[in-house]
Amino acid sequence: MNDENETFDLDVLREMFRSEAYDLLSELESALLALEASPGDKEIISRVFRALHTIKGSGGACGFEAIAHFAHEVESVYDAIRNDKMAVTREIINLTLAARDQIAALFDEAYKKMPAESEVTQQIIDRFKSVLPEGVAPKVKKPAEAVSAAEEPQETYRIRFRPARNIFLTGTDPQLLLDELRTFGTCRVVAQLDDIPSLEKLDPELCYIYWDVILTTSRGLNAIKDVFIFVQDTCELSIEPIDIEGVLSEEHGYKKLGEILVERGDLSPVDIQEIMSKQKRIGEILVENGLVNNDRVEAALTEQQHVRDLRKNRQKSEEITSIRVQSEKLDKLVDLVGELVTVQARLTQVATEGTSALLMSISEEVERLTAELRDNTMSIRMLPIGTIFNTFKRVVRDVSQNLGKSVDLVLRCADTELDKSVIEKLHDPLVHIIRNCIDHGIEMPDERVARNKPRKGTILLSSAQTGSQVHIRIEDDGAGMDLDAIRRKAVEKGMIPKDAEPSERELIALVMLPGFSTASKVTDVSGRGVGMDVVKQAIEALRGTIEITSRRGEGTAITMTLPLTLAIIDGFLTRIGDDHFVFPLSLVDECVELNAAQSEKMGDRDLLNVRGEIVPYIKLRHRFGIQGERPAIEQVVIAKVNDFRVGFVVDHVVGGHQTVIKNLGKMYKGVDGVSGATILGNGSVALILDVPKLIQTVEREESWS
Amino acid sequence: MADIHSSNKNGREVLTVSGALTVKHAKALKAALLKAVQNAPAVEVDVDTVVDIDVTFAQLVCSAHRMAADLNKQMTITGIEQERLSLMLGRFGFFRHIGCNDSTMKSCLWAYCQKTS
Repeated sequence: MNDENETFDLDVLREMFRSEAYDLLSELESALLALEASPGDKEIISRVFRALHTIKGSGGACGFEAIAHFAHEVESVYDAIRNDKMAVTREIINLTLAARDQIAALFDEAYKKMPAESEVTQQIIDRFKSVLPEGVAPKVKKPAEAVSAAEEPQETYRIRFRPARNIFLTGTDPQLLLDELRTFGTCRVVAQLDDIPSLEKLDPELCYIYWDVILTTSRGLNAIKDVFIFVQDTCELSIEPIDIEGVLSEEHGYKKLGEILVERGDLSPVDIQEIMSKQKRIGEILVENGLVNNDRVEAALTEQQHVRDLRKNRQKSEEITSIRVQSEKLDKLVDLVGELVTVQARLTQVATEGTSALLMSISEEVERLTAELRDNTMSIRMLPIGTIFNTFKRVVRDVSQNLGKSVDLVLRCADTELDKSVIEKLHDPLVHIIRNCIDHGIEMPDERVARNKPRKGTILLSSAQTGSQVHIRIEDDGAGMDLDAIRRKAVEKGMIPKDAEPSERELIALVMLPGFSTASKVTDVSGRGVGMDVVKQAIEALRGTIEITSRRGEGTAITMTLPLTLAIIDGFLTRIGDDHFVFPLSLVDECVELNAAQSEKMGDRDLLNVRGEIVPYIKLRHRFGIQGERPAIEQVVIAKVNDFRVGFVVDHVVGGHQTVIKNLGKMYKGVDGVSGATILGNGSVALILDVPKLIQTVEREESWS
Repeated sequence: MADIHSSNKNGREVLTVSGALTVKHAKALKAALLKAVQNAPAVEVDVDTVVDIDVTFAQLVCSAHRMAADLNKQMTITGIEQERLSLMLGRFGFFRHIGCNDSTMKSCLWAYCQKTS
């Protein structure tokens, strides 16, 4: 293979590793946060170790040497922790989180060409070294070794190690040999105690114990033998392979207890035959009959459990098969499906207008298949919202620590699915809201206790789906909004007249206006008067809405309502003159007729009486400057935004329409009230209305006039 | 450095041991255990302040426990449940579901040790 090909292969490998790298970082972060809550939990320590180990191994294989070596240094610390040579402390967690961020920065540098501060790596390594206890020499393999080991199949060995009685007197501790075996892989050790004599006869400086070990490793037989190299002439040692990945693992279970004991030579086949005729548990029967003691049974059961677990896990990992696909390829697929939906609409129109029954039948079949293809493609892009929810745990931890507050983040219904692109765009607004909750909402611990609240504040992040919409709610049990302060600030800034009597809802809505902040001091976290307006804009750009409710002393709840997807929506098609407009169907409440007499009746104010309810309306013909004759009876599409009903006058209602959303391009970026366009079956373009924005624009114009 | 202190509590011989119970101090521990098991109707070994153990400690205590059971005497161990010691015993492979012979079947001292892998 020439150099060019090698470079190409490495690039392909790196690209394949890309999303896995960020997944591993995410797993590392959540494991570290879990470890902070339960510092002694061995399983979580192993999770951290595994994540670092894979970053090291796979990173090294992809040529990210700096990352592999950095991960190796951090992994060494966790090797010492899992071997009980040091404890998990807050400092270790902080350092590891900093290391995780630095690894992320190094990956960003490699993938996104964003420069990372290379000196930070060494600073973190130095700080880790300073917290390692003296004499702790980590035994993890260097990155290159780790890579080659990861490629080899895993084998399981049954080892019986009976050291010489005088092993302690030779200065060798058998425990150290067993500890070394543990570093090879998954290892279970059972001490055999049947040779221990009675206390009077026992020489306390001799070793009467021998061990049965079940070890799963990719290191090979010779490496295991090497562990015992200095004692091999004086000890009894047997090493037998009992399970080899891909060779001896056809069955998913493992041998029965009797089979293991016979195989080990602890029991004869004749004895097992005789005992099997009795209908008791094999282990009990064998012990009762004095054929083996409990320790032998314990060792055999341990082996059985070990290999069964191993095979079960292997089977599980084989069952969950998936492939990683670049998101750009997925976006392209969605674009193509969008085109197909448009063409299918044209086909349906042509078939409907024509007289061919055959064409009609083909068109219906294409329509059915297209709908199925569309739904399947869209579902590929759906991700559980929990994928971003989990990243907020770190935000909550860091911000609350920074402010000296104590805050718990509770996640609920994190499996609600949303389109990948919506999820990505939600991250920043949610981070801002959570930071605000901690900074402005949750009180200091002493203050909370004084108010008879738990010392620890809670932020509840939940999601739910209704129809084609997802509701995300962020709720805190903090101080709630100070409506008087909001009112004073609004008057001070000239946002409302001094004598105005705004409702609670209107006051809260002021918080989302540009430049509004009631924070008495500016912190690193929030209070600079930018933020909630940006959050609102971001949510509206996703065709969503945001609503805040707050109760003084009890807390604040922010609810975002978002469409499931940004690519294809259920639309409601209308027509004005020769132009078509699409309303997002999720916002449409009802349609009513508007005759000339009715509209005159209401005079200059564009209000409509709908079964006794006064509904303001907007004339879209006027709004978009469309010339031509108005029909005698116009239609009003009534949309509901944040429980507020507004009518939109159009000439004709066409009906439901599968709307493939197309961007309008940079030229039309600043056009208020239109969020995109779609191509209709006849090839013409329809504008998709940004209903909340239209209402806001009209409200603003009316207040100015 | 290990320290072995003997006292009597409600008729039980309490051996309070502290420091490092390793091969260096195995002879002293054996002597103390033997004396206690032979002479007292019940023995309690308190390892609450023990900082280190090795295999010699585990086999000594096992042997003493069997001897006590054979003599129909009660022997218990306190402080062994602390995570540091139980993890060490788990590493030595001393976790058990039941005792090693008929007399210690129900009273195995290592029943609470953690399996480590």
